[in-house]
Amino acid sequence: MIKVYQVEKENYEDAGKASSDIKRVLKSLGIDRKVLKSIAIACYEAEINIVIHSDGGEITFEIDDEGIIHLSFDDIGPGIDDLQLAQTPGYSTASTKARSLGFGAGMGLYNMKSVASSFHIESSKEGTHIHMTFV
Amino acid sequence: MKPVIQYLGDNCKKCIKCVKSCPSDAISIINEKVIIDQQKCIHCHVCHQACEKKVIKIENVDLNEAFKKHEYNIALIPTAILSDFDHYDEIKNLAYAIKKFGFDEVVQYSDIEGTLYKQALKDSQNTDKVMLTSFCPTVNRLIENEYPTLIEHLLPYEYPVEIAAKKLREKYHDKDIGIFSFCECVGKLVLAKEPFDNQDSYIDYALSISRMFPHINKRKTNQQEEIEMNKYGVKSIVGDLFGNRRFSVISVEGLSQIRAVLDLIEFDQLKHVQLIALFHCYQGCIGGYYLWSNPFEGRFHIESILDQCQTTMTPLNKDEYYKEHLIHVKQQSIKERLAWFNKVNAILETLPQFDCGSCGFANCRGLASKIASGEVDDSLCRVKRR
Repeated sequence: MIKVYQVEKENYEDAGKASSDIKRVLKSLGIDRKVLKSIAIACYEAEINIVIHSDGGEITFEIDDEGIIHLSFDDIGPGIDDLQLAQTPGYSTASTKARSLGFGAGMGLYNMKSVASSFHIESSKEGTHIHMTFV
Repeated sequence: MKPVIQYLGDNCKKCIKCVKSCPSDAISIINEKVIIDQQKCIHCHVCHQACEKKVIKIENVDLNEAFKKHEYNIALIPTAILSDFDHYDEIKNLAYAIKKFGFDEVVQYSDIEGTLYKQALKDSQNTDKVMLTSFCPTVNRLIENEYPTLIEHLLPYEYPVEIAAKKLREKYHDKDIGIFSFCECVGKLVLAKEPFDNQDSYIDYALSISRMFPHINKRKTNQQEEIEMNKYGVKSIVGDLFGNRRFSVISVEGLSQIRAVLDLIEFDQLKHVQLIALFHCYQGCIGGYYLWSNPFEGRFHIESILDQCQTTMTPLNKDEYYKEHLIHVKQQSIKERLAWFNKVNAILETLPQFDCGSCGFANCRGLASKIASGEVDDSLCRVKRR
């Protein structure tokens, strides 16, 4: 099963809707609740990152035949300058607007990495690509 | 457990108001019959309220029959009843009238609620998680059914009314007592052996307080029976009074607001709140369906008599109040579930997805899953037939 969601740049009103839908699907599948919680947190963080930092992108949600859950977040830029630094807890480049809305605490990538079974990130000026799996 | 919300067919015009009103999509109409999914039903009162023909029923205990069975009958009265009174003395008049009706003893349990209220404030300080407190059986069922990820956030307390009943059982261990719980809401009716056959309960009978009202009212005079209410217990059941409007302690009322806040917790997005009290009804238990008062004025009534309530606390041992919340895990492999999900989705794609409800299901997904299981076919869909 594959579902793809478009995420718009700086659309704070719809921020989190894709994650809510993914969470709903996983709940109706009766996924283990601990795994579900990890996915919810990671997925929401990654979706918000696209809204705040990128020029837009998409989320691909897939459950493969083995029952492994894959989440891919692919945006179209402008990329992360220092990947190492961006994964440090508390480091944030979020705008004042994003912060005033309660987003951008600088825990995003760090949290994703700590809850996912596997976490892969690459970034260039053309875009950032994150792939996470959950078993 | 027996079904709480029941359907009695005669007179039903299949108007689907119950189907559309249900907040947990538990109701469907199949073959001209209203079916209530007892697993999904969270025992709120919404369908009962929506039913114009009054064919959605909630069973009540036959009080006269039950009364004769025991040598000593005890009435447990809910704290929320206080919202109907202007003066504290009125609760004493009420207690007197209940005794005059035939009860041997009237017991109030706001002292237990107060202790658990303070315990919740304390327990939520010592953790980095947002904690939830709910003595609302309806909310707790919602969490079990829809938010199993948040079970660890729910403070592991027994219902105050059950603790009160257990204490009475211990006190009168050598006596044949009948414990009657007067309930302000439908959800609370499940906390008793009868009428819904909850054998785990320490309470014998639960009955709606609105049914008692005419009996009590008839017997009301100026005479009083001494009864104590605990200030913190009273505060703990009123939305606006819970937590003194502290930033870190909030109350959330109504199922849609509760779902919104639970969604935020699932995404780990509540940063400053430590404790949330959850109530299905507006303003908490004083919004209970069976109360004759209203929560809009009731909230002010309660505030004006709060200072006449007791502040001495009843200590409780941990083994008296501790109760783990359990969830039922479905025994199915992910592959099976995924296959089922894909099958339902494929059918769903062929349906209009307006969720109009005229097929008798709350939404197209509901119809799709019954088509998938072979129970019905898509000729039920009026939009497709058109």
